[in-house]
Amino acid sequence: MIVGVALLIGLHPISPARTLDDYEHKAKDTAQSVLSSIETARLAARVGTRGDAFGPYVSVMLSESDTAVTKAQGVFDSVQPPDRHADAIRTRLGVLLNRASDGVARLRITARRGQLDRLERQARPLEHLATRLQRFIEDPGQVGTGAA
Amino acid sequence: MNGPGGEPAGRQVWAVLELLDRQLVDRDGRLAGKIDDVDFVVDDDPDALPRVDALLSGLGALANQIGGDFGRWLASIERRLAARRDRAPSRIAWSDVKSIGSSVELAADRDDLDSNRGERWVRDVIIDKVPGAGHEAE
Amino acid sequence: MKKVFGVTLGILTAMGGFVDIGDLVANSATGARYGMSLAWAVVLGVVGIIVFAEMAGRVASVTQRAVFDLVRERLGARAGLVNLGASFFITVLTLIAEVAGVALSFQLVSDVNYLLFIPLVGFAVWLVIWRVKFTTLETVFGLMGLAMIVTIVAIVQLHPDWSSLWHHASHPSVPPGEGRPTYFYFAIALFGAAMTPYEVFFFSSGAVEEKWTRSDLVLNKANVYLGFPLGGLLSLSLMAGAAVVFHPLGVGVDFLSQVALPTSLALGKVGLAFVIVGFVACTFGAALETALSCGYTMSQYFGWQWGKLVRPREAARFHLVVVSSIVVAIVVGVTAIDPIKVTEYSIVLSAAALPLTYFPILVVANDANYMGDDVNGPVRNAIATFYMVLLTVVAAATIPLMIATKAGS
Repeated sequence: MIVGVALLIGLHPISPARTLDDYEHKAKDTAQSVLSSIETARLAARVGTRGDAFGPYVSVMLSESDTAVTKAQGVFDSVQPPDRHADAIRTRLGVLLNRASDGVARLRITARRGQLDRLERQARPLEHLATRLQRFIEDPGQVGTGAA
Repeated sequence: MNGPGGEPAGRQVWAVLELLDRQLVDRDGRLAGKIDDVDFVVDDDPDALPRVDALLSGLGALANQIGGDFGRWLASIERRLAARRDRAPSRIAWSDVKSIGSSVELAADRDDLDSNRGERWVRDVIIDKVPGAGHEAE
Repeated sequence: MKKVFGVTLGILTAMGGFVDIGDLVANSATGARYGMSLAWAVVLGVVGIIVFAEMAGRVASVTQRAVFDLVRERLGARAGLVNLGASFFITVLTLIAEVAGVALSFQLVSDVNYLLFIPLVGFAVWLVIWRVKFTTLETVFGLMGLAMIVTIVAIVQLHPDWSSLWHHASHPSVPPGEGRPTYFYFAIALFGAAMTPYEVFFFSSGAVEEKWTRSDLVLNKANVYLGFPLGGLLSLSLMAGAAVVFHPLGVGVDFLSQVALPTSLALGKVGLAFVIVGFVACTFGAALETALSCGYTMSQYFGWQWGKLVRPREAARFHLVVVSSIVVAIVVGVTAIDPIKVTEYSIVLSAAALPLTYFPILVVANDANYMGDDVNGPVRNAIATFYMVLLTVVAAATIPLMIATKAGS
């Protein structure tokens, strides 16, 4: 049992996606996770700019969000898309993930510099990104204009 | 348990069964280990019931109770740690027992008991080296 | 005076034992994911710990024996050893999580990597156990832990839709899109967090350390009926805060920083300061309790002298176990193993081991030879038996659910 627990804690086997459905599911999970990180980052920016939290706290939360986005991105990138349709999903989500990563990283850097007053303004693009991620989660298979 | 197993029990034997796993307390009220096993002796008188000869405490006796592979492994550790060459676990003579309640009180000081070798070793080798070990408690 | 400070034992146990890193994370994460629809699991857990802690305290007061002491006597050397193995392992796991929790709390105010704090925290835990009097320990951390009350103020300040919160709490349901197994996995986690074994090990051993006797039975009840409900209320505030702030946004709680966010939003810097002080108090208090419990369980099984009530040199092996456990916590902690994951596993595995801890207590509490007139009454026995059945079901379901839901993902 101890070995089982150790394995569960230590290893995080990333299973390959064999079907489109499977891939879509993983894409949705990734998007949900990144959405969560973005919303957290937005809240962090808000409390930072409004003076509801002190610098180190905001920095820590933004760093954690940043790490979470990067990790989700890394995990998703490593999954082999099974077919052409999956490729489209990958492209579409990839754009959103890059934006998320950039956006949160920028907030992290600003916070670490102690420029808390700028955070809320810098976090505004994330609102739009959150909406797009939400739409993606609702329908990942929609093949349309990937970038916008 | 050592001794004639499976004999119909007299009150003494049942009382002894209850002794197993009881807490031992020395004359200063300090905890001195558990009763890991009990040693019986049968007198020559054919009507005599088995009576308790000694209480056994220590890893060796405990290993017996646990049994199985794990018990044997414990017993081998005890053998290696024991100062004495023989395999017998520490004995506390029945005459040293002062009273029996939810715990068993002894007339001896636990520092005199063989079964507390481990405690003394840890105390001397490790604990006493740290400042404040003799610091008054409550 | 002893009576007043006696109540702090209950508060400390409740704070440290109830609101520890496990509860901080579990209640927040559950509120974020399920809103208030798992509030019932917290209530169930609170009632359970109240019933059994009262029994453990009563047994300790009447017999001057602590829980694990009696486990071996009732179950025998062999079963007792299995019990020890499981309980000890889980308690060490919890200690690892608590030490990391203190370090994470310090990170929140300094933005210094929590890994650097771990050895310091471990050393501090040991030092406090080595030198600080039991009653001082209780009083300081018990009172400091009351800073967590700020979470109750925060939820009020957030002006939530109370009727909606109440509705979800009283009409539990699995939200659409969520699976039943995961729902119940979270329920088990909450339950495990509320009834973690070390709480009763600590509470009963503490009662013996404080030299409670029959005349302290009322004190025992006051501790239990005051301390644990307070802990439960705090847990529910954490859940509600997360339900109000995170649930609508679909945010998942994966970090300790997020747990403080509702308070920060509601009460600003002052609130945030209080809640982080609360985090430190609760996790440090819990670290003390779990480290001591590692010592208590092992010593009480083998019959060694234990406790802070004697000089350290007179309980040598006890202190050796305590310091070794802390060293293990430091070593494992600095490997940067995810502390939130360790926390989750510690509470879930606790749930799996609950019957081992609570069954002996129930047996002894009914033993008239030991308890005299203070045995369990029929009502209490009925409740306790119901819980034993529940605990067994929970224990049996835990590992399968953990595997099926991939640990709640």
